[in-house]
Amino acid sequence: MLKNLIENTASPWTMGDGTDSDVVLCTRIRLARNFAQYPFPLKQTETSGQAVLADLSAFCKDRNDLHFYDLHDVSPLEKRALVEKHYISPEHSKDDNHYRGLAVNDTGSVSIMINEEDHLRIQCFAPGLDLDDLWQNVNALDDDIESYFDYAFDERLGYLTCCPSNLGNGMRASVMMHLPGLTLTKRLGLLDQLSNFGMTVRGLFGEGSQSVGDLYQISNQSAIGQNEKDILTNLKSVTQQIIKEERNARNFLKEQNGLRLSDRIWRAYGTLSNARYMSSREALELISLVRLGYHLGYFTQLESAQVDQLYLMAQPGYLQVLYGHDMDEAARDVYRAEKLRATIG
Amino acid sequence: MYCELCKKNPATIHYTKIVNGHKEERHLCEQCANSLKEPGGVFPTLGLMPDFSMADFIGGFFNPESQSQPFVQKNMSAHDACPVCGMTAGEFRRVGRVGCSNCYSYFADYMPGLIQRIHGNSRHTGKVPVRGEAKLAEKQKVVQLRQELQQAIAEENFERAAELRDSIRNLEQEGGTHA
Repeated sequence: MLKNLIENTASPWTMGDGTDSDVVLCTRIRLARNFAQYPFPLKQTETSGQAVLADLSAFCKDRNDLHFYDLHDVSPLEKRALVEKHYISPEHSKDDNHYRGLAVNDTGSVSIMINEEDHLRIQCFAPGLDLDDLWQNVNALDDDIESYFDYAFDERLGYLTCCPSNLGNGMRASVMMHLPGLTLTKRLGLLDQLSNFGMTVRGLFGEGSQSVGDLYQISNQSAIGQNEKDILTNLKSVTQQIIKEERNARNFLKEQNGLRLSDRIWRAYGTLSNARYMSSREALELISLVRLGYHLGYFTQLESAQVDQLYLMAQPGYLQVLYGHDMDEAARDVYRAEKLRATIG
Repeated sequence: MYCELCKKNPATIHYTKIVNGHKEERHLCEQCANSLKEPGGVFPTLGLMPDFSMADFIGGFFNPESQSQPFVQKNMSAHDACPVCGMTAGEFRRVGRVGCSNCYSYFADYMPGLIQRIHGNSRHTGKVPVRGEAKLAEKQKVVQLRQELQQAIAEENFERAAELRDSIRNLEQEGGTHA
């Protein structure tokens, strides 16, 4: 079952579906929660660590729609693929002596990291921009868990978390955006302004100020005293502004420099659908252009899901899971090129 | 602006390095930046970018060399430990995170400025656990009944006082089994 989830091309991030999917790949809301009766994972003993796992395992059995996994039983390669699909954090994929677990549903739209920094990191995902429904879902799941277990909570500080910076509502909502238009028109400076609105931005891949593949994650900064609804309303309106600017930039490029733009996009498509060697970085850069082209109406023969699945092929863990075992970099590049050709060639 | 190392390519990577309070600005082209291999992975190979570590940042406030010492109000020895989870003040300083929910009261005098600095002077206004809410209501009910009990005793209404005493006992026992 976990194997299906890992290998499935339709993760919430790559369905090419949902509201404003031309700019937004996926929305996520995460809640940090701890049980009142056990020390936080940082100070866990074998007994208290296993107790949290056992509690969640029992909870999953009761619910029927969630499957429980002890991450000690999952291979490093599969964990890497789980990270690439955002079901677990890089931290949670470590092979260490912590009592790490995962609860996840069939489609991957719900995943609970167990004994990460906090006892629970409850996450819900949806393709496209969908904060309202997502909040309903994660809130209901949170209520359900809380009907079984007592949470660590303080009237003044809110939900108690291992890191004092997460105190309060313990919520982090993120929107994953594809911003090639703002990149090509050199207007990413817009994102620097977001901290004024209580938001943080980070590139999904790569380093430094510019993200490889033009993928950016916009999230709320959270503080005690803010309630969830206000944060989500704020994030939604900020996201909608960025979507508007990104669409303007794309239209500007098409109108002002259409031939050059289409040349770059078609070249990217040509390379992706014909290359025999393809590094992760090159793939991410080319996919960005093809995705832009798709949403500008260039590739009528493709489906949006086909295009977004390319992101999975770009990543090393997923690729090796498909292949069945570890590969060196050169072998990955060859296999990656093959998979990319097979997906859109 | 040209890259400060090769002085040939345009500088596309700009960052500020702060080491022991010493600030240094760097302007590099991608090639030179990659060849630098700064410790701490300023330019790690392509992969999922790790989250900025808030915990390290917080621990830094308690560093003896830090300029932000004034907001530590109560001096604790590095060996003072939370009785529930064993987290010591020294470890808290180092990792910037706490070990259990009790740490928030145990270290309360040690880090009031810290929480204020991150969160401002606010109280939690978001979601409240449903059971937490019920417990809160129970607590308030007990307080109210105790007041009535005092009143009844003062009025020498012992029949009423006995009733009230039983209600309080029941409520407190219920609370105990929920905990």
